Amino acid sequence: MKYIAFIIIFMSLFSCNDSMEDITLQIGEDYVDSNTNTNVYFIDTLTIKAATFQFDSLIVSNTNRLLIGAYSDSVFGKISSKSYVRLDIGNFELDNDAVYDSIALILKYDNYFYNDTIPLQQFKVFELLEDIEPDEINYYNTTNFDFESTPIAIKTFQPNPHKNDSINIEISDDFGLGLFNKLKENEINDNYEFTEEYKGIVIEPDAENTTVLGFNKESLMRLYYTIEDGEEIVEKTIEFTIDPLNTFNQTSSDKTNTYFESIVDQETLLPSSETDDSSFIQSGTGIVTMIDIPFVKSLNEIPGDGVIIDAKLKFTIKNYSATNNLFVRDSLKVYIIDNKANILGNLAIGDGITSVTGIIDNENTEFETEAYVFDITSFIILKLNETHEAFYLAIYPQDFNSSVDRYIFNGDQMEDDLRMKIELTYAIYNE
Amino acid sequence: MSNKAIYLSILIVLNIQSVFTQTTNNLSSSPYSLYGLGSSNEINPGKTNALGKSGIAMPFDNSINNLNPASFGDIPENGFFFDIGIKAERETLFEDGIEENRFNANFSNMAFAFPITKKSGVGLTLIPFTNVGYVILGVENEIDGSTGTFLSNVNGFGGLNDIKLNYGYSITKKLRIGVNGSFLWGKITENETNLIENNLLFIIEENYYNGFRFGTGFQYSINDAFSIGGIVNFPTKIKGDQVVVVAVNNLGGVETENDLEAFKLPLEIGFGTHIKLNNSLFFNLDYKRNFWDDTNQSDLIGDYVDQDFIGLGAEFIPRKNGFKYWQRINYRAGLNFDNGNLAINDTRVNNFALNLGLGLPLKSERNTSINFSYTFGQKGQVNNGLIKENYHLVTFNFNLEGIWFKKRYID
Repeated sequence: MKYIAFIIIFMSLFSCNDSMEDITLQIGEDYVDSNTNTNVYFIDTLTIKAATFQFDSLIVSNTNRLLIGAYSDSVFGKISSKSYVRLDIGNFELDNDAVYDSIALILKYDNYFYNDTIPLQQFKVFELLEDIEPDEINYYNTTNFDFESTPIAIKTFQPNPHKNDSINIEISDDFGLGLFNKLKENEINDNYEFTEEYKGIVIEPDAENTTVLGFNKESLMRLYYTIEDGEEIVEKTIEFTIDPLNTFNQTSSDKTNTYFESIVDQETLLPSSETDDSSFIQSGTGIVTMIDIPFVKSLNEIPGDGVIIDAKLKFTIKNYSATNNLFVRDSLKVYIIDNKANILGNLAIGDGITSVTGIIDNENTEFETEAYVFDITSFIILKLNETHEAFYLAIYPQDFNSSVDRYIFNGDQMEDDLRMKIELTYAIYNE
Repeated sequence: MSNKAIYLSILIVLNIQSVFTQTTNNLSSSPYSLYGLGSSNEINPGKTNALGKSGIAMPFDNSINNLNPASFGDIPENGFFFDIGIKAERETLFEDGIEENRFNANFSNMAFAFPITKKSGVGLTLIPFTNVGYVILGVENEIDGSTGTFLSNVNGFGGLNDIKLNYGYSITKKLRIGVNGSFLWGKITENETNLIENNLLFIIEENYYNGFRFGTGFQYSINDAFSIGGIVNFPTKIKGDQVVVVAVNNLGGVETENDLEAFKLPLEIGFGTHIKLNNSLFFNLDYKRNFWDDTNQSDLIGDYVDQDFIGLGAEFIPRKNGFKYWQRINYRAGLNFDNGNLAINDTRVNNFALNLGLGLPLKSERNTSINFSYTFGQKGQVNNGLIKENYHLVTFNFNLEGIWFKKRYID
């Protein structure tokens, strides 16, 4: 028996060997090279085609912003955005001896603005003639409702979204007094009766405005009145709040004499080659850059079994197209679409969950332009597996439905540091 | 013969297989194990490790001789032999002025043998057939189409096991014949990790092999002093399946299965002589040839070429039944040389080794001993893109006879 014990002791002595992982081991390198044959290719010559198209309409329900303003753009034409707003009245009490004072619309800045805020701006407020009702379930940026031709308020002001909290728009006393009397004389007793009588308002910019401003939905209409309390006169108010479900922005543009004039519907594509090697994005109006990578499968011509290690889509902002007023943001979104510009889904990174965003890469400042970089590895893998050409990318800005930001990108014909391209790292592991 | 003993032995032998696979996740040390199915194992049970790996004509002689199945016809009646071996190896590698040391230790074999009749015996041996173990870290390669590079770490491990059944039969007192059949199987894994910019590419290649190999042998005693022997191992194909998993940045991974081209093992023919000068001293001289040329195989490193092996060994026992312990010790020495089965840039990877050994008896009445061997060897050369390896190899074999019977009596 003692020999067996001896054997077991020896077994245990040798069964725990040192791991040698931390040591640098180079001898045999050449043999590994010839044996493993992993070749890595960096490819930035894959064909990429950019084009611009415009969505027929954008869903603008449930936006958190009143987007009001207009400006003229040498590339995109005249853009204009107005807000359709339904107002609600809360619980109120109005004594018989109350005396009307005034009424005003208070628009609270939400810090969004686009283009030049220095010149004076003008807003007009009109009373709606129709109920604001969704087209089926959604409001679109193209939805229209009739409103009075005579404004109930005109406000000319110096916008200062950084410094001021809000702008105060005095509404005509005709409108205010009429409303006041209906409340006082119990013609309107609750919100239902109020919204039957008052369909809502439209806040419209003047065509000569130079900026588009964002306001939050805490904005409101306020009616001021007084009552006598013995010797004193007490000031009181009734507030009309914004119904967020039935308030939307109608954003449109006059595309006369622009590249976009020829757009008939969202299947009209403007290839970058026909637009001065450029592609475009404009929020609010639904102008989007579409990217087509038609020959991904040419990777399969490289002999051997391969795998995509990394694929980056890079493009740059057109020189001088972004200014202090017409600024760009440091991230963009990307979606997968079909050839009829229907959105199929958002592009996720390899984990299938996290959405891909394009981030400004400041590495290359030589040309004083900024490049957006997107990790489109999963898209290239999708393209490699598609049976017919079915998938394209659409580049979106953030807040696509509730802003008017615009971008102009360089196409694939520019010099190397500026051109739109795909940087692909591809490994062949089994030649 | 006790059935229980046989059963137990089979259990232990099979158990050891799991030990092999656990511990073979080590460096076999040799970058040469990159090619083919890995480095061939030369370690055997018994005492041949110290005898220049020779023993084709050597009779059973109280220790298991795995080199010729005919020797199993010579197992003494009522004997039961069990042999377990371990080895430890330290290597120094030289290439282009670089010197690296590597160490590995492992089980080297498990075997048992017993007589069936007066004239025949069988044995089962589990030994590694090949061993793969290499780690190459930090290989820098260029990325085509860019000025960048990527880094690769490659780690290979595993190998094939050989479970070999030997049967020997004594036709006459002078002539013994034997046959052997091996089942060869195992897994060779190569893990490759490439760091490409900020991405990791993992390639995990698992190669599963299995196949059978058969052989035969004879031993003939011309007289009391002079014996000859011969063996033939027939060519065979080792089938392989491969599972490759490729993953980038630990995300999912794609698994593909391929059939591997069968690996061909060549015809092996060997001759040996055994000269017993007296009860104290004998010599072995073996020659073997592996006909690799006929397999028409090549590897990315080089081509397979016919391999010659020469082994010479001697054992000296001062006095087998001496009263003093040192007189009963077996003193052994050997030399072996082979010219390798691979030619890299037309240069062969020669292997030359010098062995010394001791057989230390543990019990006077039974042939229970520890066989110890020390080998110093040299493989390859520094020129022509080869790697030179100097290695120190130590083996211990516990050679137990009949302890199962003993146990029964004690019980």
